[in-house]
Amino acid sequence: MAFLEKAPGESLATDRRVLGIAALVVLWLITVPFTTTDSLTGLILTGLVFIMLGVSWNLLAGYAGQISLGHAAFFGMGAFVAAWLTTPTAGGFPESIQLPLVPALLIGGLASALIALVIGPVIFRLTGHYFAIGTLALAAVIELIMLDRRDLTGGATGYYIQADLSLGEVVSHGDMMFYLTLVATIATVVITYLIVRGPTGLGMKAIHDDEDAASSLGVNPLKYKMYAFVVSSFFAGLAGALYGHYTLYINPQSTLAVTWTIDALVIVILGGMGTFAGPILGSGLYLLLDNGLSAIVSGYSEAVEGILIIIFIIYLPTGLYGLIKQYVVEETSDTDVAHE
Amino acid sequence: MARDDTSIRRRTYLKGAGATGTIAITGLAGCTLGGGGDDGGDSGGDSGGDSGDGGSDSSGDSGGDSGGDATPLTIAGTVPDTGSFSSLGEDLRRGYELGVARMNEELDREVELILRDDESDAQTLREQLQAIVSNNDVNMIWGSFSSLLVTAGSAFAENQGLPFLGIAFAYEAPHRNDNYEWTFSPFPKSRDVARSTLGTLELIPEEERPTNIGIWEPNSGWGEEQAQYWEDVLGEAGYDIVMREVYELGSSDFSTLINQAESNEVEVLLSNPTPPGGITAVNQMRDNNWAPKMLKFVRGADPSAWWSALGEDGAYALMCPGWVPGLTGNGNAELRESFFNEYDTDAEFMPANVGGSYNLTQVAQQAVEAAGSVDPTAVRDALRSEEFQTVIGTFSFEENGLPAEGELTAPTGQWWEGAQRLAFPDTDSEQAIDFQYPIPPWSER
Amino acid sequence: MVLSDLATQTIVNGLLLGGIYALAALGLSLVFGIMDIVNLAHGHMLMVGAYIAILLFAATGITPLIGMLLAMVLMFGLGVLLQKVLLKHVVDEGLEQPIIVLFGLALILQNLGRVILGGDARTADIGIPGSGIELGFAYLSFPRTVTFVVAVLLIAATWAFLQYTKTGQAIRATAQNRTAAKYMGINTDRIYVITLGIGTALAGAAGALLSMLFPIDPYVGWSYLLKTFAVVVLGGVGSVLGTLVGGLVLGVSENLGALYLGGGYRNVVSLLIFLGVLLVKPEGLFGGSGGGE
Repeated sequence: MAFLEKAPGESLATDRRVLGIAALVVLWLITVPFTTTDSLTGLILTGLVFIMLGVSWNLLAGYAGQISLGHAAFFGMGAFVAAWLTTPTAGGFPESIQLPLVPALLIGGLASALIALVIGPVIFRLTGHYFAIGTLALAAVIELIMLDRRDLTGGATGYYIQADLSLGEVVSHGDMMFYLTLVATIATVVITYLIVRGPTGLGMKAIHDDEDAASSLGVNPLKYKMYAFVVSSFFAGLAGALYGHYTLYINPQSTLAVTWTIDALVIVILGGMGTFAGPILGSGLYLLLDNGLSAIVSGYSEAVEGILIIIFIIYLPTGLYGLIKQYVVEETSDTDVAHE
Repeated sequence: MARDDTSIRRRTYLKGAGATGTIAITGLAGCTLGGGGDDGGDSGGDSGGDSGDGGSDSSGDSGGDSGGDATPLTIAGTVPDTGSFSSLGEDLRRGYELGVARMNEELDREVELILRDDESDAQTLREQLQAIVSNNDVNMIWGSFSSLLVTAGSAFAENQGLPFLGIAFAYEAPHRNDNYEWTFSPFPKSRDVARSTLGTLELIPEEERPTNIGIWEPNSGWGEEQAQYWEDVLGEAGYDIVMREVYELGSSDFSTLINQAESNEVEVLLSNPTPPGGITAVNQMRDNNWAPKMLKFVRGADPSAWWSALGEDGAYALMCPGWVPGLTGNGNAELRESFFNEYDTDAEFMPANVGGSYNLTQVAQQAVEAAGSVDPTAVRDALRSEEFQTVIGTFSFEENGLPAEGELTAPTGQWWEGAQRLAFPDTDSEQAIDFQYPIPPWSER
Repeated sequence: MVLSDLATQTIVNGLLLGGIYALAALGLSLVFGIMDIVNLAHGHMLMVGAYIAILLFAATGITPLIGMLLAMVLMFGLGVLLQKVLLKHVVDEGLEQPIIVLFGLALILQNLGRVILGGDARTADIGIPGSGIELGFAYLSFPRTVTFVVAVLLIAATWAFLQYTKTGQAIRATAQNRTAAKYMGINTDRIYVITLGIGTALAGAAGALLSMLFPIDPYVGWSYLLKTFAVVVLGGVGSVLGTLVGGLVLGVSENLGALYLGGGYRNVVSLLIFLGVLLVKPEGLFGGSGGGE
């Protein structure tokens, strides 16, 4: 059982076994559309969207220390902007702005990033509790305004997206979206990894640990907060655009719902906040819980999730990642955990 | 308060599919290996669901080769058992069940309906349909309740290329704008609702007839469409539209709207709220000591919950649920008989939505009979070309799935002594009622 | 029926509603001011209180005004339990942990509400005879007037408790400076338990009152959380009087917003006011910081 032996190393991510497993997982994911039913493919696609949500929220909350409860707004706005571009007429836009799917998805993500860029300097005047609740309120305002703008969003009836990608009988629209989502997820993970391992990541950790101390050392807190906020919002928007174009239906009340914020938060807490692999592990666990639990404790899955995050945050603040790391990697310098 | 938080709930992620998922994989494998025609392998996969027996029986009989005739009709559908439309779930389900029982008797093939709860949520509905269709050989889809849910189901069916029937769906715009090819709505639409409202008003003797119309417009696409039809049809007939205000669907504070209606001297109040919204609005009218002389809540006053929540306060309210006790002919007598045989109830009158969903099953049956097969294209062509006789009337469909203009008269029902009864059009059925007008002030009720 | 001036009537309705908003926010404000915890489950506690009153009313026909007392007792117990079992691990442990624990609690309460009572909106009736009052310029709806009066009485009682009882004074001392309070021999752990108990009981009371006016479903928690937080920000953290004023301001601005901008903007107006105040003057429009950040 060599696999279970502890090996020296700084983190899971530099461990060869981990890289090997990651490669295997990606290979397996590539085969998913051909080996499972459409509904299972959809389920795993949802899991990938969870990873994007979790990784992006973790960058802002776990690394930069800004507990945003408004992540759903960026997810939803990415979905809407992309939908306006692929299906402009349903939103009252001229046919001429129509774009192919892939650029539309990217612009959806960029639009979310832009929103973050604009409101960031204002909302970061708030700190701590006020920032958390302020972002929650901001997301609610965006949801209500979008709901009221029936001409743009379809109001309560929702917005149907016309973007069928299916290639004949063999490759369905869901399968195509699955591959796009897979590529986007890998990109999200890799780019985020590069950021948190680089000097920017160190800056974020510095303001997370002690904002005052960091700023007296010449670190500009706003700069790092904004960096995290904009990047995080981009990936959230991209995730929303992908999910919306998978379901081909969006609706202000479900696409912008606080549910997506809850998902991101639960995923990160379960996996391990401020750890890199945490949100990825958390997404897997969450997907299992959400579906497995509904079969076992049908109807109570939400309460069980609530109990789990309470238990995790009190007794296991490093989450699943911390648990695994304890068993696999020998304790060395703890660079992987942003806070203790 | 005013935010509709029905959306803040866990998505169900194909509940049940989680459990049947693995079975479905083996089912699929069986299918590709056996290659047993349309139904063989897959209905084995469904054994985790509802009808393993039926499926394997019929594949044995037909040998998978003889093709069309005995192929079972498998229908996917959802009803809102929970969420903001939950009060309708049972009525819809009962209409479907009675209809499927009749279809099994009268059709030469087996008919199976797989129904799941959509939680009154469009996203959940889609996931549930996806799960059913993935695990069964579905050849038809039936809708849920309200424009929100029915359009969600319809979008899925259009994507899958399966015939889709939806009631409780008056919204016309999707039929015109979304290039419907597979969606058919055997149900009175917004334009019919507006004409029915006008007809009801004309039942009032001319000297007593009210003139001031108020419209509360929910902020949905259908809300706008229905309000516009009301404004156009009634305005053309000479009524004054003294109020038309938009409000948030799912809102629970109607006090400002009530004050505005009172201050504009509204006599006839028209709206299409959700059922909980409609009930709350009437409660708050009582608290604010204001009532219109005539009240029509399309969809809002549809469910039996209206009376159980409001009691006598809910009397006089009008609704347009597609079917109301008091309609005659086209199988209405059989429907009434089978309903009271099947379900143990003290009620004298059937809930309105049972009739609406029963009407849908009649359309499905007649379409499959005419097509002579369950092949989606054949059934769709039959839906486009045939004329249908159902408990709500005799009608055919336009290309886009709307009932042909003018062929359906939307019946208007009125709540009276705990039951919904036909007020317009005037029939001589004993289940119908003479339109009760005006609503007296609260102090005299 | 006398026609009332629409704007006056709207403002009166807003004031009546604002009283309950103030009561709903008071518990949140106290817990925030004294324990430095934002109770993300506050809206859900309110929902539970409403359900207690609704269930009692549905089963026995007892007016939710009595149900409110039961809700307060039960919710006080829940608050005490919550502090003793969960929050004591995380209070004073920084920002993230209490927020997330209470977030989890909100999910649990919402789920239990849905499983036990179904996803449907339910509502209670005031259950006592009475009629509204015609003032000439406005009509006072009976249930709204009763709930307003009860809410204001409860706020006044809370104020008197904090002002004149020994425990109340200890609570205020803890809010001002918890280290100093400890030196003065105040058992701050016990103060936390009492504070959370009172905060939860007040949420339960507000829920019971709201059940007479609006339908309650298991998901109302989030929107009430935002509304009550808006009141707290308007009124200043930990300030009883400020909370009352904040509630009234919110109630009136919501109703005027619905009247002049359209029903779809009822909540947008209140949230924008809230965000605006938060950004310009985070300590609240009406001064006094009882602690907090």
